[in-house]
Amino acid sequence: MTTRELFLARVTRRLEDGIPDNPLRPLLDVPSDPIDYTMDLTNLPGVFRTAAEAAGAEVIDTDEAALGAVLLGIIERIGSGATVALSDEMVCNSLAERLEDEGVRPAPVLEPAPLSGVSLGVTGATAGVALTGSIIIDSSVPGARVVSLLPETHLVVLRRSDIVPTPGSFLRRLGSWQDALPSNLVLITGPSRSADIELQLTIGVHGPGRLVVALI
Amino acid sequence: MSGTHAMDESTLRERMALAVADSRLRSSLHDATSTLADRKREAYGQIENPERLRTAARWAKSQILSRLPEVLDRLATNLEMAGATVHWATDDAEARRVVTGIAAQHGVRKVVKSKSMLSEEIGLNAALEQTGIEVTETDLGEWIIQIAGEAPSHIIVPAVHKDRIQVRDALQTVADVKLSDAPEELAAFARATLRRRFLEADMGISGVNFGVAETGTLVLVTNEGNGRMSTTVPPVHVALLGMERVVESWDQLDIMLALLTRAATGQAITTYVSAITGPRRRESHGPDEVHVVVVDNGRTEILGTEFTEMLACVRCGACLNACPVYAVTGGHAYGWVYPGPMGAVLTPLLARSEAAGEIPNASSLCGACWEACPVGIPLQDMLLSLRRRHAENSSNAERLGWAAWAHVWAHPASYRASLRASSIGSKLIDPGRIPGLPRRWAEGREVPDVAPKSFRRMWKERGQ
Repeated sequence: MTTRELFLARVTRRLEDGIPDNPLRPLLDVPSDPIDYTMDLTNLPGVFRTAAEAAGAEVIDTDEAALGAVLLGIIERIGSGATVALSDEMVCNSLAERLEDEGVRPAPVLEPAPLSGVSLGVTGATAGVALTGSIIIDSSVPGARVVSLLPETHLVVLRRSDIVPTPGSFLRRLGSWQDALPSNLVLITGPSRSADIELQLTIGVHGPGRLVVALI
Repeated sequence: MSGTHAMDESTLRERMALAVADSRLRSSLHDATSTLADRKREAYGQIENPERLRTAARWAKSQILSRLPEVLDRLATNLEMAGATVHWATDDAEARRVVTGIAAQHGVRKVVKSKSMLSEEIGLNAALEQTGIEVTETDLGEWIIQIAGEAPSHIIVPAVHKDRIQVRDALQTVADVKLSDAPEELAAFARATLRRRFLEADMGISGVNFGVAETGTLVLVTNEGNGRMSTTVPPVHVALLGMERVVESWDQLDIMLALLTRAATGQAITTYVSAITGPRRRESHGPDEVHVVVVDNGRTEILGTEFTEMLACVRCGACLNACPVYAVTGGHAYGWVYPGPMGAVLTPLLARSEAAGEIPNASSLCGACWEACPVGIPLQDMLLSLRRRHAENSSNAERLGWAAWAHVWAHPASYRASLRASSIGSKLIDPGRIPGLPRRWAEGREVPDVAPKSFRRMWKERGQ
C-alpha cells in the first residue's frame, strides 16, 4: 500500500460507525446556494467603485482612448525617476507603445529582484467583482503574477463589461474550468494592508501600497 | 525541540493569574476583541440571512467530514494532475521529516513563511533551524513575535498582546536605525527588511485556508501580501494542509470564504485571495515545484467522535473575540498553540499532554463562542463534555467532596444547617487553608460572602 492508501484507509476505518449526532443542536440540510446579499447590485460599475474605494483603491472612470493619458498622469504623480513594468497582454502592449513615444522605457519583466525596485506595475484584469470591489489577475498572462505584486503602485485596467456581481459569480464558475485553471488566480481588493499593531490600519506592507483601477 | 509543540509546564491557574494581573495586556485585549467583534457584526449585515448561511456552512462541512476519505482522494488526484506533489503525514514528526526532506533535496538555506497555525502545532520552525536553515516569518504579527521569541496569542492577530511600544522594542533589536512607535513606520521597516528575505529565499512555506477538491486548488487568504510573496517568488512552495481543511466544490468555497473573512476581521473579502493550482506550467512566473503536505497529527482520532464537528473549524478567531475568558486572559494562558474556546476544545484532543485536560475549565460555558462561530460548531457542548471527561479522571478527594456536598444539600435539615454554618464560615475561612482540601483545587478560589440571614429565615420573620 502507498502512504496515501494507508492514510486514507485509517480515516475510512474511523468513519465506519458514522458520526454521532448532537441531539441538542441537530444539523439542518441547507444547500450551498448562491448567497443573497442586502446590497442593490443592478449598477455593477457603480457598486464596484464604491466597494473598491472603501477598500482603499483609487478608481478612475475613463475609456480605452484616454488610457495613455491616465498612465502618464500616474507616472507624473510618482515623480522623477519613476519606472514602469507592464504585463504582456493586449491592453498593456498598446500602453507600452504609447510610453515609448513619450520616451519612457518600460522595465523588463523577468526576475523578481529587479522588478522589486520598479515604482509602477501595469496589468489588465480577467474580471472584476462589484460587491467587494475586487479585481482578478490570471497567471497565464505573462508577467501578470509579479507585475501586480512587486512594484509600489499597481495600475490595473478593468473593462466595465467584465464586472460580475459577487465573488460567487466568479468562484462558482471555476469548477468547470478544470484543465484551463492557471497555476495562480488572485482576487485583489485594495492595497496591501495590515492591522497587526494595535489593530491600526497600515497600508502597503508586502504588496503594492497603492492600487489604481482604470475602468474602461 | 522534539515532539509536538510542547505544552506549557505551569498550571492553567498560574497562567491565568499572571495574565489577569497584567493591566496593559487586559486593556490591549479588551480593545482588540471588542473592535473585531463589532466589525464582524457590521460585515454580517451585508448578508440577507446570515443564520441560514451559517447553517448551510455547517451542513456542508458535516457532509465533507462524513466523506472525508473520498474528498481527500479527489483533492490529491487533482493536485497531482496539476503538477503538485502530495505528501501524507500521520503525525507531527512525519510532517517535519517531509518538509526538512524537501529542503535538503533542494539544498535550501533560507525559508520564508506565511502564517500557518499548523506549522506552530507541529513545531516546524525549530526543526528547520536545527538543520541550519534560516526561517523568517513574514506576516507582520508573526515576525514581531518570532523576534521577541514568543508564541502567537491570537490565531488572526498573533501579536495582539503587545502594544506599539512593545512592538517597537522588539523590532529595534534587529534594526540598525532608531525606530519610532508609529505603526506605519514599523510596517515600512518590516516591508524593507522582509522584501530582501523574500528575494533571497530558496523555499516558501504557507498554510492553506481551503483545499478545493474538484480542481485541486489551494486557497490562501491574506491581507499583507506575504502569502502571495511566499508562494510566488521562491522556486519551491511547500503548503501545509490540515487534513480537514478541505471543501468539495467551489460552491462550498464561496460560502466558506464569505463567512471566514467576515467572521475573522469584518472584511467582505481580504485584500488577497489566492487560488493556487499547482506549479507554473508554461507560465512566466511562479514556483517550479509545489509540495502539499496533508497533516493528520491526531485529527483522525477526533473523527467519528462527539467532537467531530470541531474539524469544521475555519480558524477565523471569532470565538476568541466573543469569549469573556479570552478577553481577560489572552492566548498565552491557554498554554499551547490554539487559544480561546476553539483552543480549549482542540488542546485536550490534540496536545499529547496530561496538563491539556484542565484547559476546558478556561471557559464560562456561556455559549457566546457558539453564537460567534461562522460554521456553528457547538463549542460549549464540547467544553462541557471535555470537563466531564476530565472530572471522571480527577482525584478521589475532589469527587468525595462533591458527593458529600450533594448529600448535605439534598436534605432540608442539613441544608439549613449548612447555610448557618457558612454564613459564619465565609467570613473566617480561606479555602487555601482548609485542611484536607487539595491545594491544587483550593488555591485561587474564594468563598462567596454568605448573608448573615438566609432568605428562608427572612421570609419567615416577615410573616410573623
